Amino acid sequence: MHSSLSPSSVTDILEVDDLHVDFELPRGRLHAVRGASFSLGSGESLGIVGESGSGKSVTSRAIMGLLPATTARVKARTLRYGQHDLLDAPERVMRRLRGGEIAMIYQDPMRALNPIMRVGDQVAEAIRAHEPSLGRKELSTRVVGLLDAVRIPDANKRIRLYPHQLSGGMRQRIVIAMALAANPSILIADEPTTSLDVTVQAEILDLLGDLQEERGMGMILVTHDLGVAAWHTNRIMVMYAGRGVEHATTADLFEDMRMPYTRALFDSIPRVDMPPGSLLKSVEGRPVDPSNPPPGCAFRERCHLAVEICGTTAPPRRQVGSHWWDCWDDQEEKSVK
Amino acid sequence: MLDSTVPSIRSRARRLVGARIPVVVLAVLTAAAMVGPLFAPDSGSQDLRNARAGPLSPGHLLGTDGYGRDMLARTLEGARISIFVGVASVALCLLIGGTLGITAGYWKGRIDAGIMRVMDMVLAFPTLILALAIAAFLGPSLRNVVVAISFSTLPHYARLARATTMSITQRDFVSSSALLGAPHRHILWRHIAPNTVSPLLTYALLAIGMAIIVEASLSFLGLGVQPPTPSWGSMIAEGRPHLQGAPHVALVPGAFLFMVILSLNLLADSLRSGAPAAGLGR
Amino acid sequence: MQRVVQLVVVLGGVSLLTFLILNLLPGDPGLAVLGDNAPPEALEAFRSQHGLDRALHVRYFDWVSGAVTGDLGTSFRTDQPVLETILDRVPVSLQIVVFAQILALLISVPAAIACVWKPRSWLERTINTSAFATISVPNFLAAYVLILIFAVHLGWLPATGFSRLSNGVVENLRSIALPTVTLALSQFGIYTRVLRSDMVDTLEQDYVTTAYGKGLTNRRILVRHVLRGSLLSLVTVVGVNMGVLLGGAVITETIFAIPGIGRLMIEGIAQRDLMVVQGVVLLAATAYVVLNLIVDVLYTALDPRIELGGQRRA
Repeated sequence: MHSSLSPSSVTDILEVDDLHVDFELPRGRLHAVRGASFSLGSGESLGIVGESGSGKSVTSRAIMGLLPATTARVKARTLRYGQHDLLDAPERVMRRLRGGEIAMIYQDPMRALNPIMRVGDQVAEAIRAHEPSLGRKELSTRVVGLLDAVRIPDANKRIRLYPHQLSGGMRQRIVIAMALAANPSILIADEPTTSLDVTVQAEILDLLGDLQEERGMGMILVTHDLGVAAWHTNRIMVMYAGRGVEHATTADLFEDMRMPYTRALFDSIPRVDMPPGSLLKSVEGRPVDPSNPPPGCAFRERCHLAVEICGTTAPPRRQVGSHWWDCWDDQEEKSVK
Repeated sequence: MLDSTVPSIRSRARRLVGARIPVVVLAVLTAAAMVGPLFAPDSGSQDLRNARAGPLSPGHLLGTDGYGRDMLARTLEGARISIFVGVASVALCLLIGGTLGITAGYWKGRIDAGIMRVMDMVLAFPTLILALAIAAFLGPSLRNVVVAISFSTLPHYARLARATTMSITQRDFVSSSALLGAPHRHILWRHIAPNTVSPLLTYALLAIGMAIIVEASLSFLGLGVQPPTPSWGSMIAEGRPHLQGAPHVALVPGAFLFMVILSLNLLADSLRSGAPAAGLGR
Repeated sequence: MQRVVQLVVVLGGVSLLTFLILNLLPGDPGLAVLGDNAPPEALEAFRSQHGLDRALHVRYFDWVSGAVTGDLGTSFRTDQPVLETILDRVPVSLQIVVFAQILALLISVPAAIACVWKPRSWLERTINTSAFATISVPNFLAAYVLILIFAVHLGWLPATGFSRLSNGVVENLRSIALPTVTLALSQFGIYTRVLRSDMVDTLEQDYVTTAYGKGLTNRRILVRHVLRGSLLSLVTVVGVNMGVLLGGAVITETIFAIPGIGRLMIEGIAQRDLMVVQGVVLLAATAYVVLNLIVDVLYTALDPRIELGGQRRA
């Protein structure tokens, strides 16, 4: 069903099938992810796009096993990295995979970095977690090498600084260096540029794209901005209310958006050709309440093309090649512009 | 992955119980302290032939002390002293400290600086040492104990009232009524004073426990209520020579003190979960 | 530098307040020292000998300028220099207080870590309950129970008294064992609760998630990230407690007959020795203020974002 016939894919190193994540909160159960499915080939780059609350961040944390064990319930038909079942793996194995095989870049580098630890030590710690036998000297050479790799000038001096002494862009480079520390096969970047200045955003995205290609890593780029996802991804999956609603190669998607939600996201991308001061169009209406999703298509209340059936029956999955989408759009009058 | 403790339904239930039991304990003790002297044997009557009788001896539920006086009667009378000192000193502090704090926080500027500098100076003394010095040179008496405790704990109330006042004056409804030309008196009485009550009262619960401990400490050192009037502190001190042979003379008032402090701490803890409970380091 | 100026100002105020409290209050120190039946000439001589016949402000400036040069006046009773008497007692109090803090921290830190390591386990509940209970135990009660168990019943340790280090290490340690444990017990609950509560907050920080994401072991995350990031409140409380206790663990020293600062103060009060009490109170307040300053300096070491003076940068 989730055919991943992407051109670059050789073997799927990561496979996610029918992932569900529930949170047991004091005020009730929250279905954050409701059946997300996708896969990632080695060296491939996948964008996961959706508004906040669409379950994209929770999905990435579920892969890493970073959700709080007391409140989060993770279920899936398959959640596999290489030969490892990520749902059943013992903690010892998960620890080796975290950072070692799958590494993560976080949205807000100021919060992701320990404010009272020198950045060099934080990077060193990430290396040593997976290579405990490394000597002190080699370790510091490796740290400086990583900082060079993420294009931090004066790496020798910067390793002694604390996070608050660095700029936002520099901080995010440190986080990226930390993620690269143990040469992971998959890099999950969770909104890596959202907290950064526009000018710095492009630099970081370029850096990520270059690193991914140089090192042949698989990458999952999680973002709310379809424009960001367009940069360095092979494929894109759009998520809404905890599940994938459209998926295609990046080129195909921008050529032919089938799901109205994708189109709405596209219309909300800030563009250079817009007159200065003009208001950005955000997706109209509010995301659905994930603790109580309506029957039928979750997007229908915000969809200006909705017809009667959208409110009663979940939309079918249409598929053309590797491009799939969930929508009742074959109704005559409802062809997407 | 490690988790921080998320309040579960069970812990909430436990907290409810945690609030109810101490309330019952404190209420029963207060009632007993008020009514007890009417029923229990005279706390002052000595009977040296029946000295150091153990608990559960005939006519003396909790035994007798070194002079043969009834422990239960004396402990209950001690409870009255403790309750009086705790409530009186805290009430005095609420009134004076609250007024000082609100004044400082409302008018700011020089008045604020003046009041708070003095408060900071008082705060520079360890509470017990200051209370000791004052009580010692005022002369030992119940009234002086209250004065000594109030004076040395005043800054805490003033600081709390000031902080609360400052945050309230920044809220919209206050600044808008000031813009509309409401007189200071109106703003202070209608808006500010009522809003400082809740944080001050929560603090007062902890402070009552602290005041009771300081009172016991002063009496223990002979600087509080004078014998033969029984205070838990002086009773504990008098029990010292009987530790070998008749430990109940010291342990009975000690246990009551423990029970009251524990109840107050539990109560404050359930009102403001997570905040560290009162404890006076000595 | 600004801190030092502030310190001087606070200490000036402290000395003034100390002086005023003890000198404006009713009671003639001469009468107290010489007895109610002392002849007027003797009283007069006493007053002029100790300069009590001078105006209040003259006496204050005399005392303060003396204090700055290390002269706290002489005792009314013994005519010994007050500073000398105090310095004689300081090591005794210091030993007990420092030992008690070390003991309390040695138990509290692992206890708090255990609470976070295994939340909602029997271990956490036990630690929580005992921490809460010990907070509510007044020192005299703890001291009595310890005396009953270890001195009266078991006979292992002396109930009271202090043996100087010069009389042998073992005797010295035996004599301070019970007072040390008494003090440590009352701190244990506070330290454990403060640290645990901060660690629970720190666990919620994003950088702890990052640490997991690196593949670090639980132990390393707890010690390097969670514990290290949760020390500020603990340091504050320990500092304040040290400050309080250095001014004399009055109750504990009284119960165990330990000749420390607190005991000196009580003796001074009992003998109406104004100069001694004045000196001890000033010293207690100074110790308290200075320790608070040390805590501030420690902050900057614990959290590089905090600059001296207390402001925290974003």
